[in-house]
Amino acid sequence: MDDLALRRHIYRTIADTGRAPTRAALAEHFDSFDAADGLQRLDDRRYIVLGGDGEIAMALPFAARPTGHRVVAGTRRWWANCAWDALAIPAALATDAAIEARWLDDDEPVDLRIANGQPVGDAVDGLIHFTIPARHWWDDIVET
Amino acid sequence: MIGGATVPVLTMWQLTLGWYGDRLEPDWEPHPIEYLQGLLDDVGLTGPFWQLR
Repeated sequence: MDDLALRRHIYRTIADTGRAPTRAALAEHFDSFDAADGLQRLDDRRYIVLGGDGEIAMALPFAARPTGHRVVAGTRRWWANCAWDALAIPAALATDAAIEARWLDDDEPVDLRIANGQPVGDAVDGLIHFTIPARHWWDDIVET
Repeated sequence: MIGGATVPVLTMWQLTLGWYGDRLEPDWEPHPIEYLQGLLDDVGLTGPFWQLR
C-alpha cells in the first residue's frame, strides 16, 4: 500500500460520500493493511491531518467532522474547515455548489454559491478574514 | 507581529482555483512553495503577511 494510493482512496471516499473513511473501514478495504501506520505516514507528509483519536480530522480542503461551513451540491454535502476551504471544495470537485455559513460579524447566513464556475450571491462583495500570516499556517493547521 | 488581512471573495476564488483545483488529481503531490507563492503573487496577495517563508 503506497501512500498515494491510500491518499487517493481517502479523497475519493470524501468526494463521493462527504465522509472520511475510518481506520477500521480502511483496514477492511485494504487487506493486511496497518491503517494506523498508513494514516500516520500521510499525516507526517501533510497529506491529511489526524485528530487526537487517530482518525482523519481533515483532508484539505475537506473537514471530516461537522463545522460551521458546509458545501452542498445536489444531494452531496461536505464540511469545510473554513471560508477558504468552502470555496476550495467546489474548485477541487469542479462542481457548482451552495456554501452554507454565517458571517462572523452579525451571524447572518452567507449568500454565496458557485454557479457556472463563478461565485455569485450577495457575499461576492464580501471579505474573507485571515488572522494568521501565511508562514505560520502549518504551525497548527487545526488552529489555522 | 503581523496583523490580519482581508481578501475579497472573488480574489480568493481566483487563488483557490490554482491552489486547490488539482487536489482531487490521482497523483497529486504538494506543490513547491515557490509555486504556491506564485499563486499568491498572481492574485495580488503580496507583502509580509502573504510570504510562505
